[in-house]
Amino acid sequence: MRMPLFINPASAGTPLSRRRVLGATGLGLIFAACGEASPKPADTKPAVSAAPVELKVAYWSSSPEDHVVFENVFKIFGEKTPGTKVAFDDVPSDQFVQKMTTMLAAGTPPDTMELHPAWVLEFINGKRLTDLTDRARDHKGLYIQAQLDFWTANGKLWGMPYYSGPSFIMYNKSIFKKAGAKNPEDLAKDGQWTWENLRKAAQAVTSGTGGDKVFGWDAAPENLQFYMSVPVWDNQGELTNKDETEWTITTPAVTEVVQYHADMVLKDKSMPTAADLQGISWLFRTGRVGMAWAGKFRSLEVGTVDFEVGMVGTPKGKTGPINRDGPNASGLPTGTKNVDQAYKLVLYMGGVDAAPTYLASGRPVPVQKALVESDIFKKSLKPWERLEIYKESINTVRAWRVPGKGAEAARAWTAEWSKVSLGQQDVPTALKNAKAAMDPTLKA
Amino acid sequence: MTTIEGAPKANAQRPLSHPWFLPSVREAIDAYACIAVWLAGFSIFTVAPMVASLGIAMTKWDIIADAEFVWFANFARLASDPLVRVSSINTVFISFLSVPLHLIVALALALALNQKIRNILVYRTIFFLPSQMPLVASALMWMWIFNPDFGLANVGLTSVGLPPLKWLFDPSLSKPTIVLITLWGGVGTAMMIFLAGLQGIPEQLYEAASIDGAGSWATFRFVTVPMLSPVIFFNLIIGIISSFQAYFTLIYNTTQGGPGHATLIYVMYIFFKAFQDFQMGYAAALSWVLFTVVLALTGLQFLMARRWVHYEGGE
Repeated sequence: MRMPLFINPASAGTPLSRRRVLGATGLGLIFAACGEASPKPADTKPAVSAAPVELKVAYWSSSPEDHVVFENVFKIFGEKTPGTKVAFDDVPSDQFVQKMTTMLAAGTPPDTMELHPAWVLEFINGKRLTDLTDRARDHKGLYIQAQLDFWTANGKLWGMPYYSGPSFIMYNKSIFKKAGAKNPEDLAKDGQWTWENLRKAAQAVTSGTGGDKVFGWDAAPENLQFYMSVPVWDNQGELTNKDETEWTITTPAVTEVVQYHADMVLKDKSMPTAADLQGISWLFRTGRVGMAWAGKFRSLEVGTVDFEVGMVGTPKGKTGPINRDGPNASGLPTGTKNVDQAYKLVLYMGGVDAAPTYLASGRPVPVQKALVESDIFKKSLKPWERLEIYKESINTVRAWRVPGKGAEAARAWTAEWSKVSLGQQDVPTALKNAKAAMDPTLKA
Repeated sequence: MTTIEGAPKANAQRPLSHPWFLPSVREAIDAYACIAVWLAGFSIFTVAPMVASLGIAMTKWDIIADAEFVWFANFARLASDPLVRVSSINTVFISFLSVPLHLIVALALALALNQKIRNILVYRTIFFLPSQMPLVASALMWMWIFNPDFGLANVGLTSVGLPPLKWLFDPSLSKPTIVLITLWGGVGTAMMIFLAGLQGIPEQLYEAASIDGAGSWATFRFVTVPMLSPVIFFNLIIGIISSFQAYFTLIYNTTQGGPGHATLIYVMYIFFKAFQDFQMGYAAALSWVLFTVVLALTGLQFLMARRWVHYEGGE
């Protein structure tokens, strides 16, 4: 039985006593004092005049450099769109879902909000996003299909892509030179860029102790849903069954991949543990990591580092390469007031008009087909960035979104992995325990 | 002739026409008027949300969609949720370890700082200062101190030939480490309350004990402790309530409930259910169970207090 909170249909038609009326009034006053009134139905009258519109938009930046890029994009959109001003709310990524949910519940959602595959399905299924299918009918053809697939569910489009960051590996050339080891690019050129050779390369550059220790490979295995997905897929494994009703993490293909990472942590000691990462958001930037998974946005963060950076694609597995993406789209939350202007903004962000600002900043990989070969994209690449790697990555992205209650499932796996990384639990047991805790998160 | 004294006498004899004019009633009205603003705030921001949360505890509700009324299903779910058991055990462990430790250390510090020595105010400030430090800053500082690779704690251990420990990153050590951290920031307030209590003990009781030939331990046992017992009781009540509720900030900023679920305390589990999983009904049910347990524990302490708490002028 579904019903609005605190309304009991069983009481409908019951005569109202004075006590009941007084009680209801009292409760009403209390709740009115605690929260904002529900949003009124949309005004059907056309606007009398074109009053200036302030678009409230919520996104998260991953670094100070990233924040500036967003600021510039919104500023220029405001300048190019008379009567429109954009108010940018830079919400920390770990508080983003809470804040958006609270704003939606309060009836004060932003006009546009960032979307991420880790939780977008919860927002779509919870009817928190505006269906953009009809509005986007004439624009869909501009986009790379995988980028649309991320935001398509139940045959409808719920977000307009603006950022793509397909997976690749960033490596520290200086560390490899110092260790006298063959670097990943050279291994790739020789056709030897496999997962086994990645492990050997990591071992070769791991050195030192304590605060000066250099780690060969940073892959965040505690994040099963994103960082582990690529090696799992490349190993012909799957994280869930086809209809996403069960986690398939106890299968041999997944177990092998998790064991591989556990061995790198415990035997090779070439991967950092939670203790090593304490207080550091991305260890690679400190110059203490040989190789690390990266997305395009990280290229902004290594702009000022004092070591030489290189890039290489995903190693060869049993199949693939199949790459993941950490893409972002803009969604229009239900209850958004300025739908027309908001849609203009979200279309602008991933498109040709914003490219001289956004794409040129070096932050994203294009989400629109025409921009992949554009001069703006090519010029945005730093000397160490390789266009052919991005192109391969773009074409091999698998548009997978975290199903069910992602946060709950992630906590369950993190708890089990932490015991593995301490050597206090074997991998099959961890996966079995995690599956038991994670499967219920896929049920409605 | 009408005398001046006659008037009040006549007045005093006149019966009051309305009970509202009774001095006791007027006094009560004045008192309620004075606390009206606070009472309104308390009703709106504490009582009303509590009542609402009881209603929410009987629903399945994710804030956005309509709530589904499920009666006591959330409470029934508690019994079969393994993480409720784990987080309850962790909370009880931390509470039972930290409360006595806090009381003993705070009392010992208060006794030491109650001495008549030079610069005593400086020492009192030094020992009180950590309790005023922001919790997040304090948590980060202790994370570094207990870092297994380069933390000061392990530098200390290895310098005396002991093996380094993983501290917060070891499931078996993480809870005691958390208690150790809370000791640093948490004893200051209790210490100040003990100090105030110690300074309120009449000097003549110590003089009488001295004349009777009591040694320092006997004086402490038979004069200080009984006279301080109301203060000990107060700190005990506050300590237990805090230990069930107040370590969230520290644990959230250090271990986030890990490694494994070793430091997942009950209030953190409520937070995860409410603000990460948006299971508001279940989180409200968890909160009501916690409230009931804390209330019962406090009631039990009040019952037991009759045996050991001595109030001056009491029986």
